[in-house]
Amino acid sequence: MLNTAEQLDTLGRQTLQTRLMPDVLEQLAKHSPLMVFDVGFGVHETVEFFGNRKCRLHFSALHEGLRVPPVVKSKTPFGQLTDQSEKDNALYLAWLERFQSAMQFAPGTRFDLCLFWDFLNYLDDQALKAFADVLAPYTSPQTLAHAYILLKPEADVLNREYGVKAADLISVKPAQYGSLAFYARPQARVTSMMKGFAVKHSVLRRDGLLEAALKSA
Amino acid sequence: MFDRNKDRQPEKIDPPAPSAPAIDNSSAAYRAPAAATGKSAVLGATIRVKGEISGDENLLIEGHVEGSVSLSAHELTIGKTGKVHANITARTIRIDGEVHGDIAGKEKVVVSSTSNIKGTIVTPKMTLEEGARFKGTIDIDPAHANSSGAGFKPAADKPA
Repeated sequence: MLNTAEQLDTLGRQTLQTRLMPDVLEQLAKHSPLMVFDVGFGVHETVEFFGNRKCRLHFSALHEGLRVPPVVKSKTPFGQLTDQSEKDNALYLAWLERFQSAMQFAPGTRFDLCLFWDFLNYLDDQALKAFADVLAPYTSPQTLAHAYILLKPEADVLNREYGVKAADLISVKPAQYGSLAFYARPQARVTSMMKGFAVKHSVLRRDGLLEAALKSA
Repeated sequence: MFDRNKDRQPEKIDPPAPSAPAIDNSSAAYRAPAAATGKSAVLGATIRVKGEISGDENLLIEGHVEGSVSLSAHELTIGKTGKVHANITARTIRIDGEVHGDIAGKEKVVVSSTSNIKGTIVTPKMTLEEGARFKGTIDIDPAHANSSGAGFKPAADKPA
C-alpha cells in the first residue's frame, strides 16, 4: 500500500510524503522564535529541519508514559453495579495527573506548532480528553497541529517514530514503544475529545492513516 | 720527523652545554595547556569531582562530575563513560555520555546516539546525530552563531 517514494529501507525506515505539512509550516514562517511541541523523541531530522531558524523545540517522549496505563479500582462493592461515569472520571483524573507531570512547561509558554504524530491513537477516550486539557493552557488561538489518525485497526502503521525531514517529507523509523494498546476512531470522535482543536484539512493516506492538519479552535 | 700536525691544537672537545630544562610534551613532567596543543585535558573514567570546573583549555570528561562546568572559550566533550550532573557551558559541546543539567553551547552542541540527556540545551547550532533520541528542550538561535557568544544566554536566564 506504499507508493514508490515511501518504500521501507532495510532498517525499516521510510519517508512519507505529506500534503498538509507544507501549508502548516508556511503559516508559521514568520513566527520567531517558533515554539514547537513534539510529543515524541527529538530525532536527527526534526532538529536539522528547524535548526536554521530561531526556535524552541520541546520533545516530551510521551509514549514512554503509556507503557503502564493508570489502573482505577472500583469503589463499588463486589456484586453491585458499577457506575461507569464515576469510573471514567477516576480514569480521566489519573491520566490528567500523569500528563501534568510529563508536560511541565515554563509559565507563559504558548506553542505555535504541536506535532502529535500518531500519539492520539494510543490514548483511550479518557486519556485523550486529559491530554487535551493539560495541553490547552499552552496553546493560543493561532496554534496549529499535525496528526496521523488511525481509522481502522492496522498494526502496520503503529510503533513508529516520526520526524520532519523537509516541509513535504516526514521521516519514519521503527520505535521502541513495544506493544502499546491502540484505539482506532473516526476523525470526528477524536476532535470531539480534543478540546480546543478542530481539523482544518485531512487527507486519507493509502496506508489507512488519516493525515490531519488541526487548528486551535 | 715532519710532524704536520705539530702546530695543531689538540682538538677541543666542547663540554656539553648546560642543558636547558628538558621539555618533553609527552612526559608527565611537563604538559602544555591543552588549548596550546589542540588536545584536550582528560578527566579519566575513575575520577569523581564534586564542585566547579572551569578552565582555559579543551576538556574531555570520562568520569563523574557533580556541580558545574564552564569552559567558555573551549571545547567540552562528555565521553561515553562520562556522567555529568551539572550545568555546563562551553564554546562547543559534544555529548556521548550522560548529562543531567542545562547545556549552553556558545557555538555548537553535538549530541550522539550514545548520549543520555535530561535538561535544556541552548545553542545557536544544534546537531542531533543519526540514531540519537532526545527528550527535553532545545533553544536554537542561529543569529548568535558568529557573535562569539555575545548576547548568548543560557535557558535559565531567559524569560518564559
